[in-house]
Amino acid sequence: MRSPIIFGIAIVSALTSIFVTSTSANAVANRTVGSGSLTRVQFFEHAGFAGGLFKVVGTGACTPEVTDHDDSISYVSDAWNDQISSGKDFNGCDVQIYVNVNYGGSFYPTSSPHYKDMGASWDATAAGWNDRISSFYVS
Amino acid sequence: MGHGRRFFSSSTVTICLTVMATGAGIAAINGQVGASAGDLVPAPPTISSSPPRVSDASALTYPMDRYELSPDDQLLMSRATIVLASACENRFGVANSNSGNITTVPIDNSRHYGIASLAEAQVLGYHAPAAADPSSSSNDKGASSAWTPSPLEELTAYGTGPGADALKDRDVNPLPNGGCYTQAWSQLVGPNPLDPEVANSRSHDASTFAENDERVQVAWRAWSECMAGFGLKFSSPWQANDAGWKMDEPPTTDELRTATSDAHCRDKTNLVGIWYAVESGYKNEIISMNSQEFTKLDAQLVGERMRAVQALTH
Repeated sequence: MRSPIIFGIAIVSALTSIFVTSTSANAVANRTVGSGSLTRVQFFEHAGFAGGLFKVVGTGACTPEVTDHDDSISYVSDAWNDQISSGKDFNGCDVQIYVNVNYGGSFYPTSSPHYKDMGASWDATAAGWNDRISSFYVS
Repeated sequence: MGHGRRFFSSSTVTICLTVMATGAGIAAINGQVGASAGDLVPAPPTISSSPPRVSDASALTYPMDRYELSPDDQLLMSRATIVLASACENRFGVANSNSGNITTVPIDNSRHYGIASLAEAQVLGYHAPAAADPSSSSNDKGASSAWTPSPLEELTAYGTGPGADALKDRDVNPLPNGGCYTQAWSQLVGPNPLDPEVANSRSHDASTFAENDERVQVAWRAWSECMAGFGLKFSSPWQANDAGWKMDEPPTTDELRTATSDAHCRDKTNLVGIWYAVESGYKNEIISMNSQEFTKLDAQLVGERMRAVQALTH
């Protein structure tokens, strides 16, 4: 016969597992990459700029030259991999996104100069890129 | 009185719910990369039995927002960076052409829980209002306000590109690693700066605890039932938000109908009010539990502001 304490722990443990399994709510961590006071890029976990924020900051604005990279994010992190749904860019910065880590696989935009000016509003779903981004360049 | 047998006292239920909420929080934290509050788990915070309703989320603020750079801070730090970087570039015989025309980005929590305003949902659906966004007109690389440095200026500024290693200043010193802007930023943040990700990580812990808190989960379920009353089947508010609406096109009738029902149900169940109260409570607790860390972050920001002002006034 189980002791009352062990029995109680078993019940609580079972309830906890049921609870965790049934909710599975996990906010994606806000993340800031780079150093500096200027925001260059914001990516969001959900459509319409909702939920967690992935932010790239820099010490200055992006330059017109797009053959260099002002920021290179070879992997957005385990938490953010295939999670991005919307985005914005600022201070002259544009992005080039990739489906795999280390800038591998399909990329967007496919037309030259291969950088997307997201401006005030970019919807990953409309571009066919919802929950697909693993790495990206900023220029 | 004919009452059935009571299996649990109310205190037993409360203990169970608390353990469940805490257990779920622990599980969620352990499952997250970079989670940091696993060392100490906050107790589910006490909130009002009827948290204030939030029908307009544009003014929502959180206890951890103060550890972010405000737009004024961004402007101050940016100007100071340019002043310090200019001095560095001058040593390499390069004139800094950066006018400092920058876009500051405010801390914006208006969509932290998705839509909240019924009036907005009726007109915009899940689309975010973009008209007020400061970046909409100033981001183009070709804009007259854009910074267009010469190749040599860009090289000294950021230190990227061929030839960076060969650059020497008038005292034959090499270009600082990362260029003059990186050096300027290092001067502003001072020695041994704290990892700015600390606040993000702590904030995330609170968000995860909140989403898994039983009170928020109960509100989600109530919202889901309310949505079902409109013939809409969604298990979470994020499902409705992310239902594949085309944000680059005007909202469809279906989107407007769903968003309007969503906003109505959020208001009816006080979903955002409860969620916000619980998350703010966890954030306050986490700040208290890590008070030394947050005191250091505070001091870090004060130091950065002070050094920026000094750079601009000397």
